[in-house]
Amino acid sequence: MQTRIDFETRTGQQVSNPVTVSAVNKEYGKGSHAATVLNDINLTVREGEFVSIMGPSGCGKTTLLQLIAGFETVSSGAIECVGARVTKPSVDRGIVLQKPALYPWMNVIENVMFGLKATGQGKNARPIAERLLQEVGLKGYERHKVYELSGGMQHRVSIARTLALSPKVLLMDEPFGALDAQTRAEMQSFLLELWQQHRSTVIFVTHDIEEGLLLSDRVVVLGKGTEGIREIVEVGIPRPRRYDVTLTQEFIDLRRTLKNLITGKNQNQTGD
Amino acid sequence: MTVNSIRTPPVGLSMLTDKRLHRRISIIVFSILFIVLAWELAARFLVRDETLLPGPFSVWNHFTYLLTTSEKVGIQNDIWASTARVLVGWAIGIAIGVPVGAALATNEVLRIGADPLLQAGRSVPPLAFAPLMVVWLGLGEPSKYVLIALGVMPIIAINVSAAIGGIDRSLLRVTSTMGASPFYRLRRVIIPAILADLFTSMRVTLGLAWATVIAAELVASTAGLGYRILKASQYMDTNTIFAGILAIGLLALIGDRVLLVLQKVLVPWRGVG
Repeated sequence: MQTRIDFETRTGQQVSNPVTVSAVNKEYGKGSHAATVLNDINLTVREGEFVSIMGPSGCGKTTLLQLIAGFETVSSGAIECVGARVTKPSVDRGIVLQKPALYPWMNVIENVMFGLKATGQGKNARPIAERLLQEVGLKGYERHKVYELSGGMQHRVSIARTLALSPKVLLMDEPFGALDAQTRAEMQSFLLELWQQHRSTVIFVTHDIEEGLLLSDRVVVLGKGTEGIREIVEVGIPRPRRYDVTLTQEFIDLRRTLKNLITGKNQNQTGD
Repeated sequence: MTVNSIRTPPVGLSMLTDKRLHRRISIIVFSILFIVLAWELAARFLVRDETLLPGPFSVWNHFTYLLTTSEKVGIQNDIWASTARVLVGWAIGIAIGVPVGAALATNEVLRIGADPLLQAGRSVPPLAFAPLMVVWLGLGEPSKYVLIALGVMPIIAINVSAAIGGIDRSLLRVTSTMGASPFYRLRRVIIPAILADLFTSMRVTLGLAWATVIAAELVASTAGLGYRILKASQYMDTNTIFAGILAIGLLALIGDRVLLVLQKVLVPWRGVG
């Protein structure tokens, strides 16, 4: 059923991008107390593209992701996902959060199968989940309790759970932000590898410049409040990439550019 | 791809648990021994009057006698009467309290409107309603059921409502992208998520149910442990009073332990205290 809808939208419209953000504003509060978090955001994410959203703390990058996910509604403007207006969360837009947010009352494979079973695809759930667990390096852990896994492993389960429903867009909100440096680096190369196999459309929020550069095709740098998008940086580093591209001159130059963009050259404040 | 960093409890950990268990048991045994000893000494050297304070062994003998003698003399029927009232009243309180709590959690108007009533209702000792229940429902069983349920319901409702409100937001957000129907979400996410808190409030209210039933039986009843204790006091039969108190304590303890074990089996992901 899902594949049929997919087919129709694709044949109906020549190019329907996974995500189109048009003139989006987001304000919190009303009247004189209103605070603008996002102002006139325009962004088109193409099929199979990995886009990171970065910016100084409080720039609304997580808010933008939550709007795309449908957890919150726009104050004005519109967000479309494969041609359909986003009004509420949907299986089209899978999300991975900073917390793995697994169901502790289910074992590893039951977590991964949750979405499939919830949407009436229980029959195929187990083979799909087994394949995904193998891909994320957790073969043999199917029956483990999730709260007995390490942080990195919990994230792998979380990613597998979201991928199980084959969302049209994968939204990731600082997924590795709470991990220790080593696990974080490990998860970054893991995600890079996984993405290069799947080529799914990903929108990735991070405050880690290196992480954003390593993974992305484009990096959207948001400014604070009314400022809107500061710049969209194309990351021309060829793929397939490996973790050691972080040592190349091209990468280092891009990192400096991004850092200046995020911290704001004139404001002279740290990006944190 | 290091996946060997799993936190499975190694052999050493289960041994530690064994050690802890031994420690727990010895503390419990010693505290009971201490109480029995202090009681015996007080009875023998301080009060020195069997009709005022019988010693622990005298009480224990009388207690076992009351349990094993003919039903006409013993307390078997009283135990059964009180236990049945507790279980029925408590079950009614939970059965009403859970959906009320769920409604409070999902409906803001209801929550704001019902909150003062529930908070006040929770603070009024159920016993204050006892005379009213006698007037409305008579001396029979229904008045006891309603009295217990009245005490249990608001506590369960408040706790269930708080538990639903306290479910991890990340968990709910992820779930909202999984295409689950409201019923599936309720069954597979909401209920498991509040189960630990529900068990805790069930344990609290079971104790309350016991306190309520005894008080209600003291006020107006023709059977039950409270009634039996009241009658014994009229005959200066302190041994039976103590035996009755012991029975109540043991029954409440058994109920609590059963719930605790159930909680550990059904909610293993949550540390239980």
